Amino acid sequence: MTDPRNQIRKRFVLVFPNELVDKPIMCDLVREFDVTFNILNATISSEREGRLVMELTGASAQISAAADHLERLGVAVDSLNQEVRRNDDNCMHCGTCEGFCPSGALYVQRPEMRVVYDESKCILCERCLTGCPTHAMEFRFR
Amino acid sequence: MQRTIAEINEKIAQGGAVVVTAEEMTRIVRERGVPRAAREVDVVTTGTFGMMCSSGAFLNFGHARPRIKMQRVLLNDVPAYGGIAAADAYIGAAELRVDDPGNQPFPGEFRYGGGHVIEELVAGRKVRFEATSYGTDCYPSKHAASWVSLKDINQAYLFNPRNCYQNYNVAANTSRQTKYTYLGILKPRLGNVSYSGAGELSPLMNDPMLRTIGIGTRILLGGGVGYVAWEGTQHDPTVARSERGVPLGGAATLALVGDMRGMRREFVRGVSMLGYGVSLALGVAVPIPILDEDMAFRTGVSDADLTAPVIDYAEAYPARKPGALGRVSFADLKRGEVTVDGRAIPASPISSLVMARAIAELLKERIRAGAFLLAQPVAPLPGPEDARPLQPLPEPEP
Repeated sequence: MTDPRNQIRKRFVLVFPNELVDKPIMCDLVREFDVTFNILNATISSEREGRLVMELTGASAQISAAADHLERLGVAVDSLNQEVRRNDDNCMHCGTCEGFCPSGALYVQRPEMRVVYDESKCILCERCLTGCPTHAMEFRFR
Repeated sequence: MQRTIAEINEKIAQGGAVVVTAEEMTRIVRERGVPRAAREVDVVTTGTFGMMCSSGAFLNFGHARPRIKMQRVLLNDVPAYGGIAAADAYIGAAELRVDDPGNQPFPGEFRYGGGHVIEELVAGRKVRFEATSYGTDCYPSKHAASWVSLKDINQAYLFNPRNCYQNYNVAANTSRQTKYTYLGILKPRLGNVSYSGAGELSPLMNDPMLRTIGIGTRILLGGGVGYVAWEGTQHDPTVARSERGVPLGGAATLALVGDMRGMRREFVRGVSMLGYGVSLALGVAVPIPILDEDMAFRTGVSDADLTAPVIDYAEAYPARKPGALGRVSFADLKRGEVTVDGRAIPASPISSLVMARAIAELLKERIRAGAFLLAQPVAPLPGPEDARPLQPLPEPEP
């Protein structure tokens, strides 16, 4: 393994064409490029096209090589330059988000009852963009 | 031990009143007992902050030249009711913008409405004004448009027919689909419950028999000075009560009035409830004078003493069928987990205890500073003996 101090994390959106959906592509990435992955969001459309939001952790050069490898296989690779942020001025700490946030990124800290946003747990499902009553959650480009 | 509101006001004016929040009072009563708490505390401040759809503002825009009756009024494209005198309108918190697609596609987002207009006005922002009317001899214009802000408007006051519900339902969903309700997004198969209310900090939970809260009680509404105007709509003090006298479900409500000038945007927030509509999240703080040991006992109420019914919003509520899935305490609700039918279910609020505490603290500081005196109510609100239970809409004639 790479020295953890030299590791970086990078998020990607991968679009798998129909013919690649059943290939063990992610498994190969781990074996060949010494990167680890964390799947944040995965959907398969009615045309059997797969969309995967994922975070790769590893050495910078290895992550680039892994991304190149995916593109050669026919996977569309976009580095994810968007993120969900909270506009703290708009959050009234009502807690509505805790009820629908599927990853626990938005939760009520008890007993203070403040709403905490732990961005590292966000899986970019985007539910909070419409579910937050005061529209405090925003999609931003990095 | 007895004290009057006049005596408390003298102490407030001299800077010597002992004022604590309702959460602090719960601890004081538990630690020192009712008699000592009654001797030592003069005023308990209560607070709540949540979505209160039955809210709105009366506005007088001033007359245009030439004059117009302002029959139909739009504020940032949200209709305000103009069926009152020329230049007056009432904008309701739950009113949608004219081009809002409603619940299509489902669930609708309801991004902007009356509650948002009210928030923008309180924040000092300018709002697009448009009025149309038929012409008359005295009001010849048929159209007027301008920009207005709280600076320009002659009168701007919230007049809310139903605020501060005394206890309320806890919402659950027994169906197999997600439900989008005014109590939040409910996961299928009892995946979660949601609730609104500040529990032991809540105004009407601390004066359950309405001994001190009546018509004319001075309060903080949206952070500014306001008053209890009347019983609220759906006021029903006849519901069943616990041994302590606290209603076991939604009971009393208050009609509140207050000048929008002096309110703070942090306590007056337009909100969008996915799949339901727009509303206004509002902060209210009510002072409770500790007139005697009974009021010390009442304000010593704790979350463990307060229970609410768990209602199925997939079936029982929309169909208006009686029956609850169970009862849960505010202690469990605030802890984040309740037990229904032997099952542990996550519980989340949709009202803000952080903001409820903030407005209760604000009232406490104002009273301590001598800047807020208590008002003696001029008439009581209907109590259990004076009111009849709520009636449903009559069934149509066959």
